[in-house]
Amino acid sequence: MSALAWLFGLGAAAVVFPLLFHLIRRTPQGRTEFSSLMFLKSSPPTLTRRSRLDNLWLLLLRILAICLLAFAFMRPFFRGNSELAQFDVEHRRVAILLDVSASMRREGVWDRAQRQVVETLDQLEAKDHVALFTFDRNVSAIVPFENDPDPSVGNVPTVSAIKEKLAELDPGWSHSDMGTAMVTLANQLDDWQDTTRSDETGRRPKLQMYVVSDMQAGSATESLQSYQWPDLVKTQFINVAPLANDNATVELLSQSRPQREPTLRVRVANQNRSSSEAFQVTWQQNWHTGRVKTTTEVDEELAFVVAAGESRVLELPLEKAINANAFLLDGDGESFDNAYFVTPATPQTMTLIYVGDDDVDDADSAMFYLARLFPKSTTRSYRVYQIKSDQLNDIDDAKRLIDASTLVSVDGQRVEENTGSDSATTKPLIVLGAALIESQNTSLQSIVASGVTLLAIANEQEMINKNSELIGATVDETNQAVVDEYAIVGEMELTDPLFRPFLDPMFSDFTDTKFWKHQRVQLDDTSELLASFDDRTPAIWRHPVGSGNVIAMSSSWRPKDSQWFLDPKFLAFFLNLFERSASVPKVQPSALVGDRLKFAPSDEERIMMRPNGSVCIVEAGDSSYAKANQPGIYRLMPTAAESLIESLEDLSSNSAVKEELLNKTTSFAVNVDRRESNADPLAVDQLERLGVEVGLHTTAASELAQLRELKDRELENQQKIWKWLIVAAIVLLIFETYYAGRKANQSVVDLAAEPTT
Amino acid sequence: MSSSKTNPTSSFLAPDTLMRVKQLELRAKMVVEGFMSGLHRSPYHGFSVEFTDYRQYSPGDDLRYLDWKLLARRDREYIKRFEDETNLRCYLLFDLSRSMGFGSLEYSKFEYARTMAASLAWFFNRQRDAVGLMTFAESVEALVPPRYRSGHLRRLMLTLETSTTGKSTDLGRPLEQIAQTVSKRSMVILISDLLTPIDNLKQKLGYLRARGHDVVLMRILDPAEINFDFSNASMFHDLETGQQLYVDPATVAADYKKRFEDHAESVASICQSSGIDYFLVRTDEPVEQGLINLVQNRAEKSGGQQIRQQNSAVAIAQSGGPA
Repeated sequence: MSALAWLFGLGAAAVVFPLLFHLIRRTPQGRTEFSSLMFLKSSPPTLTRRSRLDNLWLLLLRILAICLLAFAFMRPFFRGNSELAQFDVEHRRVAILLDVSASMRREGVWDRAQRQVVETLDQLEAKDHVALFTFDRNVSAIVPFENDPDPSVGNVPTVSAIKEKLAELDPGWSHSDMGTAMVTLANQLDDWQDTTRSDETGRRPKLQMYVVSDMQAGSATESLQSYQWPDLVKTQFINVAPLANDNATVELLSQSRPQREPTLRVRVANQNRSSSEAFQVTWQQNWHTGRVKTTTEVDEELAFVVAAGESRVLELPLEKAINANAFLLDGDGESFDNAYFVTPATPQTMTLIYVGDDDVDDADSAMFYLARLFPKSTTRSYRVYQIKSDQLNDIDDAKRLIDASTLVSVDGQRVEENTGSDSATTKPLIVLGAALIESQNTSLQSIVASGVTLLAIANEQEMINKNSELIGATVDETNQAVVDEYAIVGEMELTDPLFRPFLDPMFSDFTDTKFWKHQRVQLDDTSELLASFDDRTPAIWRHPVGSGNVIAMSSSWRPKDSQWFLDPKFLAFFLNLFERSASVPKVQPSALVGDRLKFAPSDEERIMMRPNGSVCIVEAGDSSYAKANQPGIYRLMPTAAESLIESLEDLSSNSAVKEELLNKTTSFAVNVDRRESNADPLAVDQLERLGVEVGLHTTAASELAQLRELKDRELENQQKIWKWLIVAAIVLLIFETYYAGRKANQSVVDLAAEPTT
Repeated sequence: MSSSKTNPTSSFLAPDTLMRVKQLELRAKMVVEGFMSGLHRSPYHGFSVEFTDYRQYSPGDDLRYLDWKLLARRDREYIKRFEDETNLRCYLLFDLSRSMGFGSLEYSKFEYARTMAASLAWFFNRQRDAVGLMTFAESVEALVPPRYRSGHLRRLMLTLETSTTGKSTDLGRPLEQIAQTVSKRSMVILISDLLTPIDNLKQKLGYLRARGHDVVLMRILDPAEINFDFSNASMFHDLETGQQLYVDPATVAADYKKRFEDHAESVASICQSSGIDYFLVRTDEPVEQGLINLVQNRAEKSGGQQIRQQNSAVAIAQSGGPA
C-alpha cells in the first residue's frame, strides 16, 4: 500500500475538532438572558458521566468519517511489482570547461574555480561520463572523454585523474575566447551523439557542459553569433568572479599623430565598479612578470585620478623610457594586467657628414649653420662631421671615412666613442658642399647607392657641372638671364615625404623666405622635381641612386644665397631629412600573448630568450615564434649569446657583453590582451540570447524518481481507491446525521417533558 | 362593581395580539377605544380637574369670582376658587433601561410598557389634558414637555417609537429633574420595572410628593420575573451589567422568590408611606387592565375627595360658610 500525497494524511489531525467539540459540550453552556441578577445567587454546575457516554458513538462516527476523508485525499494505491531499474534512464555526458585566461589570475579566482570544479565532480553520478577542458584563446583537452569506460568502476578513475590534473593547472596569460571554446566543445559533444549513439532506445542523450569562468565582459563571444547551438547540449555557467571589481588597466596608444613633443601616449582605463581612483604610472627597467616592485626602482611617478568607469590618456615623457622595458600601473586591486611591456628604446646618435672645404667658424659658410643647428636631447644626439674634399680620394677612402674611426667631429669628439649600438640602425646623412672630381663622385655615388641619403648644394655652376651625374641635373644654358630681384619658392610637392611635415596650411607658406641667388638647372629624366622657384626653375629635386637618394638644391642657406637659415622650417626640414635617411627606430608596437612573433629568417640557428630567462632554439630558416605565452620581452639572439649571458641582469648591466648582444638582438614586447582587464560581469542571459541552451539535465537519480512518480500516478489512476473511500465517508456521514438527529429529537422530547416557562 | 371590573377584561385585546400591531399609535388607539367603550358602560367617570374651593370674600377680591348664586341663596359672600389651569398636567416617566428588554413572552417588557405609555398618552390627550414624556435610562434621554395642542400626541408617539433600550437604570436623576423643573402640581406616572436597588427611592419620590405632585408608580414585570419558572441550569446574563452567573433554577428558585417578594414589599411600603399609587402590571395582562386599574384608583381617590368636598361644603353651608 502506498499513497501519492502523504501530506494529506495530516488532514486526519482534524479529528481534534470533533473531540474538542464533544469535550466542550460536556460543560453546559446554555445561556439565559435575564433582566437582573440582583435576586440570584450562583449555584456551581454539576456534571454527570452519562452525558459523555451518550455521545461517544457519535464521536467515533465523526472521527472515522474524517479519517476516511483524509485517507481518500492521500490517494492511496497498491503498488505491484513495478520497480524501475537504473538502466532505464540515461546518464549524462559532462564536459567541464575551465577558463585559464589571464583574468583568472585575479586574487582568489583560481582557487574558487578549482573548488567549483571539484564540487561539480563530486555532484556527478557514478555513471556520468566526464571530461575536463581548458580554454583561453584555444581549447585544450586536459582529460578527454573515456572511450570505453569500465561500467563496474564508473567514472571514478576519470574523476581522480581530473582532480590530479586540476591541481597541476595554472591560469595562463592569454585572452579568453569563451565563444569559440563553447562552440568547439558543443560540436564535440554533438558529434559524439551523432556518431556513437544509436537511437534504438529512443532516449535523448544528456549532453551537459559546465563552464567554470570568471564571466568577464572582455571575453570574446562573437563566435556564438553565427553558431546554431545544438538543442541537446545544455550549459551551466559557474561564475567564480570576485564580488569586488577593483581593477584598472594601462596601455600604450599608437602614435598616429605627429609628435610635437617626445612623449608617449598612455591610456589608463578604470573599471565600472572599481573602488580605486588614485593611480600612478612608473617606468620600469628590466621588468618581468612576477617581480615585486620596490620603491628604489621608481624612476618617475606620475600620479593622477581616474574615476570608476572612466578612462584617461596621459602623456609620459619619452626620455624616461630609455632602457625601460615596461611601464607599471599602481593603485588598483589586481596586478595581473598592471605592466605594459614595450621594446626598450635606446638613445640614438644621428650622424651628419659634411663633405666640403668650409670653415666651421665662417658665418658665411654652409657648415657654420649645420654645426650649430641641431638640439641635444636624451633620446637623440646629433654628431656633425666634416670631410675635406681632398680627404675623399677613392671609394675605399670614402667608405672608411664615413664608416668609422678617423673622423673628428666639429666639436672635437672622436666618432668611435659615440657610434655605440646605433651604427647598425642609423645611417649618416651626407651633405655635399663642394665640387668633386670624378673619382670622388663615383665613390659618393656608390655610398649613396647603398641606401644613404645625400643632400647636395648646387649653388655654383662649377658644382653643378662637376657633380651633374650625382645630382641628376645640368646647368640650363638657355635660361641664364640675370635676376636682380630675389626669388621665392613657388611650387612645392607638399605630399612628398620630404615636405610632409609642412602639409598643414599653418606651415605650408614658404613665401617669406627670400632667395637672393639660385642656379638655373635642367633636370635629368630620372630626377624628380620637388620644389621650384617662382621663375619656374627647379629649386629642390630628388635624384635616386641605387637604394639611396640624392636631394639637391639650386640655392643654399648661406646668407649670401638666401634667408632660409632664419626660417624655423629650416630645422624642421633637416630633422625630417634625418627621419627619412636614418630610418629612426620608434617604440615598437607590441604583440599579444599567444600571438606568433614574426621576424626575418636567417641562415643561422638562433635562440629566443623568453621573459623568464629560459631559452629555446629557433631553427635556421624559421621566420616566426609561436610560444609567446607569457607577457614580457622576448629576445631573438645569435646562438653564441647563450654562453655570454648568465642571468637576465646581465642584459641590464652596461657592459661590453650587452653592447655586443644588443647589436644583434631583436626584441619583441608581448603583452596581456587589454580585453582581459574588462572585468565587468558578462550576463548569462546575453549568452542565452546568442542561442546557448542554459540549464541542467536531470540526473539519473532524479529522472528515476520522476519516472517512479509517473508510474505511481498511473497505478493510482487505475485503482482509484479514493472513490470508494469517499463513498464510505459519505455513507458514514449520512448515518451520523441520522443518528445525531435521533439523539437531538430525543433530547427535545425530554425537554418537552420538562415544565417550560 | 366587581362585574364591571371583570366584564371589560374579557372583551379586551390579548396583549400578544395587540403587540402584533406594528404601529404604536394604532395600538394606543385600539387600547383606549376599547377601554372607553367599556368605560361608558361603567359607572365611573374620568377624573379631570381639581375640585373648586370656597373662600370668604374679603374686600379687594375680584368680584367676578364672587359666587352670586350662593350670595342669593345664603346672603353670604364667598369667592369661588378656581385652579390655575383647568386641565390636568401629566408627566409620563418611561424607563428605557436594558432590563426592560427582557421578556419571556413573545414581546418584551419594553414593548409592553411602551404600549402602556402610548395608551396613557392617547387617553390623556383624548381628555384634553396636557401630557408630557420623559424617557430615561442611566440619564434622561428625551424630554417632551406636557402640552395640549394639535400634533403633540404625534410627537409623543414618535418619541416613544424611536426610543430604544439604554443601559442601566438610575431612577434618581429623572425624579430629581422633574422635582426641580416642574413647579406646577402635576401628575407623574413612573413606568418602570424597578429592578434596581431602592435605597434612596423613598427620598426621591418624597421630593416629588413634597412638591405636591401626584405620583403614580406602574411597575411592569414579566411573569418569569415573578415566578422564576426556569427549568434548565444555565449561565444567566444580567442584561444591564453584563454579569454572568451560573444558576440552577431548581436550587435557587425559592431563594429568588423570597428576595423578589421582599423587594416588592419594600417598594409597596415605600409607596404607601409616601402616598404614592403603586400598580403592579404583569405583561401577560391586557394593557387596558392596567389603564382601568389606574382610572379606577384615581376615581376612587377623587370620588372620595369630592365626597369629602361635598361634605365640607355641606358643613360650610350648615355652619354658615367654609372654614
